[in-house]
Amino acid sequence: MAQKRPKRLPTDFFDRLLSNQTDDQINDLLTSLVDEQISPTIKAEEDLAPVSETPDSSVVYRRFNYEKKEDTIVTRDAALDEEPLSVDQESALDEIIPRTSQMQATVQDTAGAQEQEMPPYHEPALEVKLPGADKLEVPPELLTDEPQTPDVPMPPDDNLGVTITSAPPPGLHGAPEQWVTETPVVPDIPDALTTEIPGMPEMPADSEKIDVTAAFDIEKPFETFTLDETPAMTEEPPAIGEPEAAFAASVPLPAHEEMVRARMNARWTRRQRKPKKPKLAQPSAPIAVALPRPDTISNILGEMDKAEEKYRFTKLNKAALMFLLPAFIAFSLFSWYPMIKGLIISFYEYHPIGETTFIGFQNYARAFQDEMFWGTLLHAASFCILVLLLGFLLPIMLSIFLNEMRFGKGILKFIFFLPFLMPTVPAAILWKWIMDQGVGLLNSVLSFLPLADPHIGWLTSPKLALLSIVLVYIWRNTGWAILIYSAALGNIDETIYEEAEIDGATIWQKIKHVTLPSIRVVIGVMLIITIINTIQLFTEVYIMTNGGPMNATEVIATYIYKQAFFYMDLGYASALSMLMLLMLLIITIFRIRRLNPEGGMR
Amino acid sequence: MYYIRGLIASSDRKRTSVRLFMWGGTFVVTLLAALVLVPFLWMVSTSLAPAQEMFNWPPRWFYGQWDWSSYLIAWKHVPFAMYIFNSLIHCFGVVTGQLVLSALAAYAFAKLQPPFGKTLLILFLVTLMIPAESLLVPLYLVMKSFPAETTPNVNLVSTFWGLILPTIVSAFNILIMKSFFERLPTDLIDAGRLDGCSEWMIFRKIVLPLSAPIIVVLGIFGFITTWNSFYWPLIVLNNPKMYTLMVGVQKMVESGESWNIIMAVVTLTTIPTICLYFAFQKYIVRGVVFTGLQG
Repeated sequence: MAQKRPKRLPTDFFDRLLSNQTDDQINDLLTSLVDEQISPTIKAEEDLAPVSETPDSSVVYRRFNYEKKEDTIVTRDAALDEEPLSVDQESALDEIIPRTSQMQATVQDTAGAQEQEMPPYHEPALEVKLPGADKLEVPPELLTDEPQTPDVPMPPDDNLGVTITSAPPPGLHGAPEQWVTETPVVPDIPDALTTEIPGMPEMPADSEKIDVTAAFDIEKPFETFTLDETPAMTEEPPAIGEPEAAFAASVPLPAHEEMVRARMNARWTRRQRKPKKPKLAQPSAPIAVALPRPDTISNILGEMDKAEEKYRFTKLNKAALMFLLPAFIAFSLFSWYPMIKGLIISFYEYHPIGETTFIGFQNYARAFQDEMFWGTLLHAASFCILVLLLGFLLPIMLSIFLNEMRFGKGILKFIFFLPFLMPTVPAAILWKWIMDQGVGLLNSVLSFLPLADPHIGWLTSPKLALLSIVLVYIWRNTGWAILIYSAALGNIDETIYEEAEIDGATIWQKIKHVTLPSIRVVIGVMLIITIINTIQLFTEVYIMTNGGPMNATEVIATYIYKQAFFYMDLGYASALSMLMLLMLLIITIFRIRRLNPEGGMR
Repeated sequence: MYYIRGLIASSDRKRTSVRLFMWGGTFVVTLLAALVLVPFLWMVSTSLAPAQEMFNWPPRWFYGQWDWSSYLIAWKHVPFAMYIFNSLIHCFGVVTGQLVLSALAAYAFAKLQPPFGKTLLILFLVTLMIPAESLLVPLYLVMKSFPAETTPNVNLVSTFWGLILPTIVSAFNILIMKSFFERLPTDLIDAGRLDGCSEWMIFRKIVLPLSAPIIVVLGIFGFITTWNSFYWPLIVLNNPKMYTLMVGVQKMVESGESWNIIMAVVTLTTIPTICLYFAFQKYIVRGVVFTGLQG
């Protein structure tokens, strides 16, 4: 195959272009170049050669190396790896090389690559059909009106059922609209022969049909092409790494892809210097035209995902870490570090003044021998049981009843909720005053009843003190529980009640079989919250009795407080804290398990 | 206005037994509500009683005239305004710190996919399971020689820093905000990215304005919790001039003030939270229910 050597821009083209200052000079330069040197000529017959039979699938390009000032052979992948042209070069090239929108234009430059090795792509599998072409029923006006050269046929100017031609007319600068005629595809006639238009490559026997008219239908670029089996498809999927290369390698080239490739080649071969800034917009034509197979699409999507992951890893992660930094510092200083420090101190004899000595588990051993510690556990347990006995069912019943009331349930709920709004400290002080042994309100009210002693020591009698605190606790927390139960009751679908009524359920049966099972989860949560709250109890006890009388109300929190800040035994206090933490952790883990049978965090 | 039927069917409501039960139940519930209200009334009544009647038996609800002097004494004698000021500083610092830290962290967890995000999140959430009461002793030691004993350190005990800093960590806020941010459409954030916003600008200009509701809820909640907090301020504050309201009131009770003055102070302490409730009733109820159900 005799092929012409490609015409190439002179090596100093860009230097000249960029050094020339005036527009006129640039214009002169460009026009001279266009006219004399790189004016794209029409492809001769031999240029549109059939597909290369080279078995080697690794593609080689001839490239001009601007450092060495000579041609080099590079692989296609390496060519694709190269950085694109700078914006200046790009725009300069655009002046010279026609845009891809002129679809039919074929730039001669691409032939240079074919001189030694054929490009990897297969020629467009165009099938141009002329109905009844075997009889050569070409309308006479087509033959007569415009004389055609045998090499370069003119495209039909009329609706002849000819889909499209790939070779442009002589003279590239003519508006393509004048000679491109898109006509509806003629359905296959079984007898019709595929007629070769001169200048077209021979078709592979089993190549698929491509509806070229639809190829440029922007609406459905991925639908009209029926790519079942093309030679390119039989290749191995491209190696993961460069999505662009993966595209190009796996994609059979439609008709005008050749032109696009020529354009790209022209860009690659005319690199002068490394671009100073990255090009902003990549040429979109190959992506718009390339039609990968579905698995290739997923490949590409995977590549895009990977690119996005890379972006996230590089940029977003930095931002994420910056966002997390303050909280991380705060948590490590005020949460994790104290936790570890508490654990460490619990193994020491630790006083604010004096020696700090490591004593191992002696603090824990001391705790288990300490009657006061067991006392606090006992008090916590009895407190918890009393609260559950006296105050756990109350809000459930109240909320069920309040939910049935038609008038005034809002104000009643608010009244029940008021004690919770009162901060704990004033509430405890208030009740300390009400339960005053001498002149408290409670005693004065009870004195109207026939009781022997009008001065009951609610907070001073070891038997009653715990119960008093339980009463205060119930007073404070009932309204809160009512609020939560009411919210849960409001979520029950009332049609379940209707269904129960159809089945003949009474009111009590409805409560038993519909209402309570519906809020079972909430009841469980409330149970555990109550247990945790009673174990953590501090403020009420501290203010109302401060652990007294006779340590009858000493709970673990007040005991820790006394050990730490009264006896200044911080090591022992830390050990007690750790034991308390352990207790609560067990309950919390139980709660999480209960809420979420699969385990894990909520 | 439509009526959501409850447990009892409308036809059942006309039955005499059900009617009687409803009336009886309403009576009992109203009685209970009155009982709940009695301590409040007693509080106000005592605060308005004359000081010399405090130790009379039996105590009376009304002594012929209101005596407002206890409020005046409470305001002047007790450094009440100072306590409120300290409490406000405390609340402001804690709420700001909590919101800033947890919003930043929650946004990172929800939308930015930090490295080791899951591990970090679990580390944060583990602190939810740890009661504050069990950390107070080591926290006190940390604050006493901050950040560590072996390094150059400062004593933050009895300073506002020591009061505020340990409570700005809030894994609960992070959890809530994270679930809120996760529901924000990622497209908004990507749109910001396309427009060239930095991540901080996206957070500041897009995410924060959209998350105003959750910030208000958590802010109110943090405010109330901090306003009511007692244990940590009691431990960390030694200087009477820095007492928050709750500690100050408790110290006043310990110093043996007359009960009418104490009740005046208690009334004054209670009023702000109830006012806050009326102002943000919807948010508070929602928040209470949510925290109750979440844990």
